Amino acid sequence: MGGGGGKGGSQTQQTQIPQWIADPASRNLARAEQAQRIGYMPYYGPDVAAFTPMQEAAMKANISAAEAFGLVQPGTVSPTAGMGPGTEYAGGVRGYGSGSLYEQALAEAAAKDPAAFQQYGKLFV
Amino acid sequence: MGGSSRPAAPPTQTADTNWMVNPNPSMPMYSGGSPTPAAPYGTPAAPSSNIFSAAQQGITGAGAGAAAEMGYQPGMVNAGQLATTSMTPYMNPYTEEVIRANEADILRGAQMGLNTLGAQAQAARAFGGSRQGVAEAELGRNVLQQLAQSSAGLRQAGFQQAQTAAQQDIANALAAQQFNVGSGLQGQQARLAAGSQLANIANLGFGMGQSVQQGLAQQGAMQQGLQQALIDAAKAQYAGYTGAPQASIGYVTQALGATPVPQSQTTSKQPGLFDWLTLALG
Repeated sequence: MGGGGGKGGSQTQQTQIPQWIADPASRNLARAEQAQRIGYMPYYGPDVAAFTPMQEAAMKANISAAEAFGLVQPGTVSPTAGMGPGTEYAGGVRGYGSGSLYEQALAEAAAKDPAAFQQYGKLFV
Repeated sequence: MGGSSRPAAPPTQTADTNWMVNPNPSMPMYSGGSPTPAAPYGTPAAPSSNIFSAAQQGITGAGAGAAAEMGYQPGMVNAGQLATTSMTPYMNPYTEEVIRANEADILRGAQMGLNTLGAQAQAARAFGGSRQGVAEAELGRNVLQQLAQSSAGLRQAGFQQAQTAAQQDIANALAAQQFNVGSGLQGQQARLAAGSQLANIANLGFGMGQSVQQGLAQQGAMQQGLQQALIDAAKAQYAGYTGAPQASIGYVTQALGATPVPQSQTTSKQPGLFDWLTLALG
């Protein structure tokens, strides 16, 4: 923007953002800043489908054969040994979710580096 | 997510499972504590009692049996010979008594004949005569000849009977030996067949054991894959958590970049002295 007056006069140039775009842009920026304060939202639904009853039946039959053949001690293994039978979700869908593993990993990390996690927490409201 | 008051450990997820049809999680949500060393499960059976050890024993037994039968020697057959066979056990022990009885019979007949000749000679008033002497001599010669022929025939018949019995014994012994050899060979064949059957059963058992073992391995791979997928999902969530601050920067950046900035330019001019002079002269 130039000044005016003098022998030769003066010339002024002004650039303006139209109001119809300035207002939404301001609201968009404000919303982006609000979204910035929202931390990570984990997924607590099923990640992996569980074995179906037919699969488990086949596994049990095979395990029984292994027990009969002396390959494993009777009663020591099952189709879901070491992993649990899974969780039943909506619609009867059985599966496994990673939520607990995720939370355990976070707890482990927080216990090992609490300062970093405290700093992390300050980033989000 | 909390702000400055956010706890170091994330809260446990409880309310989000209310929508589940049957919230009976076999893997309960994390409620604190460090990962613990996993305990082994699926204790394998003692090696001496599984199907593979049984198959091994069967294979070993079948192999040992076959090796033993490879050295099988059938029994020798010794054909007996009459020439080297003693006839004594086969001779009739009563041969001499039979001959003696036969001689006694002949002699008694001869005596009766002599008595008859004597009576005839006495009746003819020729007893002690030459005619009687010739007749008695003739009778004696015939008697002696009959005695010799009879005893010889009896002895020959006895020997032939003994020879026949001995030959029968030789034949019987030969047949018995041949039967024993045949039985031995049959026994060997039966043992080889049993060993072969044992080997086949052992092979069958080994194959069945392998099938079951492969099934177990496949099941284990499925379980391991499922758990690996869970771990990968958890890692992805953790990456999402740790990457959230960086990702949030993009929100504002995108908002700035997405906003078009149309500009309107306004130019205004304020005239000066020369502008007025130019205007007046023109």
